[in-house]
Amino acid sequence: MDVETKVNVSVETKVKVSTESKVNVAGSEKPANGEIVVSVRGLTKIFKDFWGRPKARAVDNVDFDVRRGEVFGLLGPNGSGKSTTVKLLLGLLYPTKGHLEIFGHSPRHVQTKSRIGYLPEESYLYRYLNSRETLDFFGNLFQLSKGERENRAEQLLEMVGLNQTRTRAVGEFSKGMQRRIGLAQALINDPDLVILDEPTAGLDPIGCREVKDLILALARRGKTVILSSHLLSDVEDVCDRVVIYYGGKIQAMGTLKELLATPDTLRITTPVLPRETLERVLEVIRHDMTTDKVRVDNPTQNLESYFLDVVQKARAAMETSGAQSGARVAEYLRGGVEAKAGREKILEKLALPESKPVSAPVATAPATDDKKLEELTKASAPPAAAPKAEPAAKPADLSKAEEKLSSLLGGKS
Amino acid sequence: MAVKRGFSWPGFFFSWIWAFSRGLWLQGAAIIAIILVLGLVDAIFFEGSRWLSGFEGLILMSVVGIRGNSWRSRKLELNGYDFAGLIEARSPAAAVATYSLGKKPVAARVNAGIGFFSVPPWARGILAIAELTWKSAIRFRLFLVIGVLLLAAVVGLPILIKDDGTARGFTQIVLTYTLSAISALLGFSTLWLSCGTLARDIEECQMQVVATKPIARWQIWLGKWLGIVSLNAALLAISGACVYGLLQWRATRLPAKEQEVLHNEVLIARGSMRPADKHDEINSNALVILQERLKQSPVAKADLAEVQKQITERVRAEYELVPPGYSRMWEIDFGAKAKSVRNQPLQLRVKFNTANKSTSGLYLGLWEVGTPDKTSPWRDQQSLSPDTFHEFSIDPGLLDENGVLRVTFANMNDTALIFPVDEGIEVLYREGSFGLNFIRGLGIILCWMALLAAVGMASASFLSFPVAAFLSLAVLTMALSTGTLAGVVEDKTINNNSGANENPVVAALNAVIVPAFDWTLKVINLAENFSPISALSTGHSIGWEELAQAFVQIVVLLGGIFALFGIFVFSHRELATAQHQ
Repeated sequence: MDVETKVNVSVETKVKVSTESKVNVAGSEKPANGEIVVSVRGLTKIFKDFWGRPKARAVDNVDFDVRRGEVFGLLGPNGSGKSTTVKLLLGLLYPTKGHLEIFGHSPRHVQTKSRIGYLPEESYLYRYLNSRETLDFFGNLFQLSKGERENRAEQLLEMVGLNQTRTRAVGEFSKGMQRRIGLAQALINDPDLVILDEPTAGLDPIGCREVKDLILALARRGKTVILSSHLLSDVEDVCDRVVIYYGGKIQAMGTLKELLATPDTLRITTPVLPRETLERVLEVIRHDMTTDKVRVDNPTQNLESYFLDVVQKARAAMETSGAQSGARVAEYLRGGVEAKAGREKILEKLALPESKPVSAPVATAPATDDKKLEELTKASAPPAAAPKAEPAAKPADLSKAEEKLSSLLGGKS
Repeated sequence: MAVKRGFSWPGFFFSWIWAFSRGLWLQGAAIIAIILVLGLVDAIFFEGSRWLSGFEGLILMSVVGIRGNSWRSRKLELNGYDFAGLIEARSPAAAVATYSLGKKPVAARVNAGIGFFSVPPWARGILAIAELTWKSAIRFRLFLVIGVLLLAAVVGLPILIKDDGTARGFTQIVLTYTLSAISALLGFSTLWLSCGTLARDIEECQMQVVATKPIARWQIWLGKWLGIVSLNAALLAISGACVYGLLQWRATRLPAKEQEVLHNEVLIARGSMRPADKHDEINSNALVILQERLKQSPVAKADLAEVQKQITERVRAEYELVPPGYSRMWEIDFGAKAKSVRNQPLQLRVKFNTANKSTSGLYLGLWEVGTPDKTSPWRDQQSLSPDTFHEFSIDPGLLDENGVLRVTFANMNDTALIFPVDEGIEVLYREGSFGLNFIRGLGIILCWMALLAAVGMASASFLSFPVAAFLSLAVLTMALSTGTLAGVVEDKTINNNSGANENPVVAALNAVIVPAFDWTLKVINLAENFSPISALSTGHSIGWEELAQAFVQIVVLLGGIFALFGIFVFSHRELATAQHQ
């Protein structure tokens, strides 16, 4: 691809729009008034000691809703209350105060649990079971028939890259492999709500990427995903909306666009321009502002994209005895839509609409629309006209997001 | 084609005939094969027990009744039919007619399957958890280790401890010691395993994943309990089979006379009859005497219990004592059993005590069994030692026309002999085979294990593994040492020192502790009142009703109390408290 030759022009103006045609990886805008899957009101959890005296206020008066099809992130430093919230949602802890509902029921309602998939923050699986037995056991708890369990287990093991190690005990797995089988068990029931607690912890970059792609694929199918993480890139890459916890309280909540947009800066990305053309463009810009506010440079690919590219090439040349890269999203998780055969990853195909590769978002910025450019240079386009900015399409420039979130967290992340 | 959903009565009554008539060739052949195998096993090992055959037949018929219609559905599907749904109708023909008229069926799936058993949906989670418990026990080598230990006890004990060549000594070692060792080993391993299987799953957080699946906490609890009980059943079956085989094999090495004794008195299931219970009579007589005594001379309130105890002992002695030169007759009413017992050889089992020791240690007595005017009595003169049980065979046909057997003993010594009312005289008669009796005995041991599993899991429902194990062992120790409790209840005081009961503190403690101990003792006795090992060692019959009673008292009642407590606590417990951040 020749996209690396493009130039990124960053212009600081008061314009509130961006001309970058970012890919909407979720496929469509999430309805603001969709079905509420999770409703949390005034949620408070106080841990007490043996004598009933308050020991720690882990979650403090938290309110939020999660709607169907959303990828909702719980972000915060260690000990901020993310995992406690997750466990309250799952009925593993009981609220001290407040009210929460999942699909309109209490988290302890047994039938509601058939719609939930949960990946805990560590591998809490039975060490003496192998991968197949693990999935079969959990499938049995969901009352799946034997044939269905076998079918799904086969697809999931292939999806998470463990189809070569299906008879090895989970206790012998590396941490990354345990995360993969943990993820598979969370999806055995084709859940409507997937709760993932630190899903990429212990995974290699390929695994991280696959998990993120999977989350996006699930969201495409209208599944709701709640993601708890302290890894900012995880959240930024996949979440539609986030809450940021600190000290058990919600410090910030909203879409990533709301939280991360820098409304007084504009970036224009174009193919490499002849020097004369660039000079002319800069001349026009300099007409309106001082030169120290205008920056022209070549965009760089982020490390994740570079790493994936290197491994992709290496994989073609040799085999590995560990976990393999996941091949494709299990068919039943795709809603029965059989993708066309091919060696390329289905995950990637699903994560992007119309087969646009998500793995090189920086490099595939579309050509500049003259009309839009003209509008932009007018410096007063209304915000409503802005195309939806989706985070997964822009993993290249994470440093700003990291800075922004770090400042929100008070440097604790 | 329509097939009735639910129980098939024709299948229940006509089993394999019905199966063949419906073209279910595989199932029909399987039913016949099962009938033949069970019949063979019953004939070889259980002397063709009619009870057992009837029970097995009923189970087989029920299985065909329950599963029959599902087999038919499955067969139709295999023959190319598609499942359309369920229609409410009076008959299959009416259902087809209704469907033909266009009524939409309910799309509920019939649980069709080719197997003999189908698992209802609510039980699938329970069985999955039970299976997991099995896998854990096998993968962690627990099953293997306990199995080896049990086999070592079964095979090793008779090798280490030599019997004296008598049938009784042989039984003591090969049956009593090995079954006791098996019970003790299984008891401790059950407590350990039941505490571990739940507490460790909670501590190591696997329970957090399981509890987020659509399975109720009570199902998780019951699944684990069922897993442990079924593990115990398997281990008990393996070790029991070894004991049985060893018993039969080693019995051939005994002298011929001892072999005869063994087969007549031990390797058999014998029913037991005793003289009518005299306890109420003794107590009421004692009360009358006490009241007369109180009229004559009042007794201090603190001494009243002691006086009553002394009078009761004296009255009891009148029922038990045979003075020198005197005789005593006991009447044993066989009631409804008289007809089947009348022409059988019987065994008289006796035990007596004496206050004075004779130089030889033996006491001479004349025994007469039967009614002299009506039957030709059996007589024998025996020199017997005190404080132990003696058995001797008596002739058949000694019961009178009312089914009453009279046993008379003449004391030919110069000292009085005491035949305790509870165990002094007992008449034994053949009731069934040893094999089935042995299985029922193991069944009662399994009931104990089920109770221990419930105790262990109840404590693990709210405690960590080490603390739960400690608490369970403490409960077991208390249950095994009921002597102290019984002593306190019998004396009605915690302090036997004279005058101590007048101390208000002791009196207050007595008011609380004695009833509490009494209640605890009654609860413990619900489980301890059964003695299968002793019964098997003495050739006493353990009836089905006794096994059923043991199941109800030990598993349902006592186990149920622990299970309800454990499930309640586990269901209301926060499972992630150890992991909160």
